[in-house]
Amino acid sequence: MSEFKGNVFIDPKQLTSYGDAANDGAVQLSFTLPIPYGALAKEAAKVFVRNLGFDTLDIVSMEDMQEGYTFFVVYAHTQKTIDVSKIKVMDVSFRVMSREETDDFIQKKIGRPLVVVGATIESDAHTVGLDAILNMKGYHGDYGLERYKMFTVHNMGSQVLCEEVVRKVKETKADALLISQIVTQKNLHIQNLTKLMDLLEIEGVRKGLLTIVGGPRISYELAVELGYDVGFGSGTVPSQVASYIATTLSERAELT
Amino acid sequence: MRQALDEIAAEQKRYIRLTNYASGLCMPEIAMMASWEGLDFLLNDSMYGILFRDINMKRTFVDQYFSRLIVALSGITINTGEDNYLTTSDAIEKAYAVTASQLINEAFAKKAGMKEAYMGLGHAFEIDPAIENGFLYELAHALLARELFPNATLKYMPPTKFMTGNVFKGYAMNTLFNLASVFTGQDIQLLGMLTEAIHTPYLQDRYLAILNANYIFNNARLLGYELEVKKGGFIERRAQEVLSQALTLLKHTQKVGLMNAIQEAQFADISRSQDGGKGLSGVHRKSEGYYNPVLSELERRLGIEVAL
Repeated sequence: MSEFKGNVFIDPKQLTSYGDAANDGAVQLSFTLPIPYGALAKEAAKVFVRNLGFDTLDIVSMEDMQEGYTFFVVYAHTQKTIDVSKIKVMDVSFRVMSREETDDFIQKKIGRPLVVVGATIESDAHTVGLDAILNMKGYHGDYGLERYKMFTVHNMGSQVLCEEVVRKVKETKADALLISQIVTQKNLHIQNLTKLMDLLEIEGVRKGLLTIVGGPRISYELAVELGYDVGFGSGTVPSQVASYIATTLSERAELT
Repeated sequence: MRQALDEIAAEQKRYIRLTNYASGLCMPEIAMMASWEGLDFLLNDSMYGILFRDINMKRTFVDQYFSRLIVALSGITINTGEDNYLTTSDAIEKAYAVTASQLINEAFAKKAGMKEAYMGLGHAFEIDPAIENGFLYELAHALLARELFPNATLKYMPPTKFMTGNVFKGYAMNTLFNLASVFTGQDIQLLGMLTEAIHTPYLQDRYLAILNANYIFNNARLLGYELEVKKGGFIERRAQEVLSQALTLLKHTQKVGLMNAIQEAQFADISRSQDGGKGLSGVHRKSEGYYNPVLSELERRLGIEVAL
């Protein structure tokens, strides 16, 4: 599946990044080194970037951030290439339906409204993602799950303890659980999501419950790795989540 | 913290303000600690806890009053939380909720003896960047706040809701935010982070945010003094529209009462009941012989007349 871009040969078995010419391996980097601004800092930055695997590089900006910190903007080129044909990705495949279609689908296939519990858990105070999917208003003109006839939505808001989530799942006999998590540099989201999954298992509500994670840096792989059914990243609209819940739960209902 | 900042302040030859929150279930207690420790700013809103943290409304109204009496005597500037209305609702549709809340926050602050200069009434730059003339809407909203509260110390919050992983676009959005601020004469500028929605800021993210703000605030310093918005133009008409919508909401609130208006979900589309929420167990009707020496002394020093 090699192809020509313009008049340049792009080889998927030896793919590299594209700056302003094919196969130039150009990358832009910015970082801080905790050493004082000066000639030594500049040389240290060069050695650092070379050690990252870049052979030619250009420090286009070096700025004194004071108190012994220096900020760099670097353009570098790499010789390293990758073989795209060897890469496998996990992805969910389902048909995205309109709100009306999804409502009809649930009515026909399941015959009762599906109960959805949503929360942002533990220390996480961000509700933007959760609200975008659940609130009437929705996101980018795509109405949220609250507007669907066939979803009963319980939006618990932010900073909800895992224990409270599990209680709510039990109390409402939830069909699907939506957890929104922002990813932090300290990887707190992993701990939070793991804790919740453990609790769901211990309390015996994991089976039969569709568990969904969403967040700007959440991937399908990460969600599955942590024991969830699916993960949705940034740019996900409510109708995608609604369609996924409807189709997956109807498939499960048919299997049992 | 205060001591450490004072040491740095002496080195830098400029005063550095210390900020914290007085919200939740302990507003007066935190305000007291802040006063004692010499804080300068406190995030303190008359309705935030009710709407966004599900704290009982009676509890919050009592607590915010007491906390603001302490704040008023301590020379602390409050920062109100109107930006929250825009992160949960559409920033154009619900712009009037910000204005109405600013007026309510101002009224409560005045009741507690606060001076206007200590009112950091809040608003935010949260309009969808894809909207045509979105920047003009932002200017209209920011100018409305400025003209409505000429003596307040306005607090302006950066874009968060529509920040994506594209840090370059995010940086451009923060630049427009800074430009709106310098043009409309905002006072407390919370700097936008290009990595908002990704992770807690790296050192370089903060550095770049300061670089951006310094550039815009220096480069466009007198813009607001030089340019006037066109009479009868888009910005003026939009500000009028928001103001009249806010007045409609406040007139309705006056008619049904603030607590009922909150119950009707008039604010932030969130309904709270008078006897719901956290902290109700700590709310009691004052008995005839009720006397709180601290409260009375605070009110006396602030010259507040209390209806008996």
